[in-house]
Amino acid sequence: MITLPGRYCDGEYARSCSVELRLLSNGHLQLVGETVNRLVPRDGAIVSDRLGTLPRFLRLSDGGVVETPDSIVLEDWLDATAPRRTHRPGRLIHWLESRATIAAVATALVIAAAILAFSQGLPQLARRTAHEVPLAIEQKAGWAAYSVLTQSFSKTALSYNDRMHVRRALDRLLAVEKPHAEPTLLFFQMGTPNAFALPGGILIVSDELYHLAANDDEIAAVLAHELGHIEKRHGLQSVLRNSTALILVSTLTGDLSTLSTFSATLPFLLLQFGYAREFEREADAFAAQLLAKAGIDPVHLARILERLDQSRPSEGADFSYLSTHPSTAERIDALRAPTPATAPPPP
Amino acid sequence: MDANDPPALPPPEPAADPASIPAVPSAPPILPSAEPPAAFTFHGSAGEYFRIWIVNTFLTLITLGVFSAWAKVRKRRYLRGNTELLGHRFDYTADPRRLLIGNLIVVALFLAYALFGAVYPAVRLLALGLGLIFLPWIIVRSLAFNAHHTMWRGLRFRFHPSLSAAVMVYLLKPLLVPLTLGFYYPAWARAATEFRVSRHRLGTAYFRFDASRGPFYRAYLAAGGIVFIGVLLLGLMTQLLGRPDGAPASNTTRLLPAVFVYLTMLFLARHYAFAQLFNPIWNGTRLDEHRFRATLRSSRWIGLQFTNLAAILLSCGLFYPWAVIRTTRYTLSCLAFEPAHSLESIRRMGCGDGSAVGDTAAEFAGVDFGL
Repeated sequence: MITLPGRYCDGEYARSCSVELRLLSNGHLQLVGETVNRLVPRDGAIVSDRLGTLPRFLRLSDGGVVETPDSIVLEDWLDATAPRRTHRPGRLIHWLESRATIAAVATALVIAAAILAFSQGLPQLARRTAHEVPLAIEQKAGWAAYSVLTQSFSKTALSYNDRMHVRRALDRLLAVEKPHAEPTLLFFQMGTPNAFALPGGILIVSDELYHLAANDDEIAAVLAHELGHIEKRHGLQSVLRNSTALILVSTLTGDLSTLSTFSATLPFLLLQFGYAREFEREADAFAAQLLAKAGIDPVHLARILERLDQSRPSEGADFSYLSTHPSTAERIDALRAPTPATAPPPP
Repeated sequence: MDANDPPALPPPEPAADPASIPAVPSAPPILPSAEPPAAFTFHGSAGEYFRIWIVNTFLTLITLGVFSAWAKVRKRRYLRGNTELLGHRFDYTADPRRLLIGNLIVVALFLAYALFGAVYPAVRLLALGLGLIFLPWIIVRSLAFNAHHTMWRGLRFRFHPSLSAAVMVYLLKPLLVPLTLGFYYPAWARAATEFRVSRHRLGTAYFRFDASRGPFYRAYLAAGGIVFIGVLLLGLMTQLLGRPDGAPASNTTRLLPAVFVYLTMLFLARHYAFAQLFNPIWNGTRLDEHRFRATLRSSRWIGLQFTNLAAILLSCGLFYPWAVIRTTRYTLSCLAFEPAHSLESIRRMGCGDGSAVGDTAAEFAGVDFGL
């Protein structure tokens, strides 16, 4: 007969009493203490799973509870006397949790999985899903974003002729390749040279950008870049990526509320910047190909990027790792380097 | 906030997490007690908790999130089970399967909200409105669920889930905050704390709350001052970092340092308020005629939270378990229970057991229940 120390509460009052647990070989359990002496049949107690070095709780069917330090002896007795194992899974988890090597392996795997999920898994998932979204839904999302974004812009001051210039540049590109959504071209005064695309084919160009462009080819280059965002559904993809990333992080930490805290806000911001940069590169590559097909030298995109860069005050340090756009120098280099689509065929 | 992993619970559980609630010094006079004060002892270790945390995280990952309910129960059991009072540990008995159902419902609702919300802005408003209306229910069910599944000395904690009182505290009274330009906020925070504390009981012993409003006003006024300085700094840095011509900075990068400073000030304000309110809240809490005595030091708490934050950020989250353990250990070391007489007269008394959906939803909404 094995005996273990323990404390017993009857489940009726908050009083406690030291007991000796006698583990009988017939599977019964005897509690002996100052105010208690009872025999508990083996199936009359549910034993809590092992967890760390926590004491085990034996919950008796009448509401009583016995607390006893975790011990191998108890585990062996449970094994020997209970033919039907009900807490195997719990025991396996405890085994995994108590080994340093397994913790080290789990750490490495979790880090690898997290890197893989954020760099490959989520982007792939978002890309596929975004391409499945019906155009009508995409357009609704685009116009919803449009009404919010354009609130702070003022009406365009461009003349009809100016606008037709841009329109013709767009038509040159559309003649080569039609995106999945018919583009809607709109103009605003934003106070800064800018152009952006919203889901469903909404293309917005600022007056300032029009004035900054040296010629129609440069305008076409900017439009080709924005058409890249539209064709690759970047707007929808970023919504999908960000919301799934949120769920992934909260599931992993098991603490959904961390999302409201500082430690989660900053990584998310960085993650979003990283994703946005990837989209810019993709749109640049799309633009380079489209321009080449339309007979426009992709170097025009590099030129207008350069001019955009000069029109902005110097940023001091180049925080390219944080920025939504890859550093301009990096993009210009990429555009000037011959790409498969623009390189002359080998002689 | 994040008062969840750690035992943020029924009163005798200290708010263990890096973020919970607030408070100030000066305890009300303590009745002469026959029994010696009893310390809360915490036995958890960071190494052990790390192993549990990482293995459960890994299992959650390879089961595509299904295991997260089991992981959550194990983590809560670890923290409560390592908390000892008067020779007995706390226990957490929630059924992971119920938590799983709650998780699934909440994730489905969130996905639907995120996707439909992007397409139809009206859905977003509608969802927020519905969420607001259900908030009191969510809070009440969550508190009841966690109380019911927390045990000590064979008795369950309980939370009396009064929906009308919750509507009053969480929907109607907050309306007064904007009407009074925020000056009602500390009083509201006190009312919400009273609601949470005084509706808990352990068997037949009821929790009571009689802290005054003074500490709440002092703590939130100071915290408000910190936030105000943060806003000033944000404005100043935006000017310095933004475009000289006053046009909106087109590059978010440039504003990042300003955002960083602002978030730091918010973090400081939150933890300052928590630390200042911890002592008054616990010193004003009674279990029948038994009292609590809290001796948390604000400077120590804020230092703890900033080192936690730095460690978590620098380790990409790997130091999270360490932060939880040291926060829980410090919090519990600042808390003692002062029984007026023997606890043996406390008896069992049953009632409903709350809802796991409420529990997850509340956590998701970032509602703070820590005490």
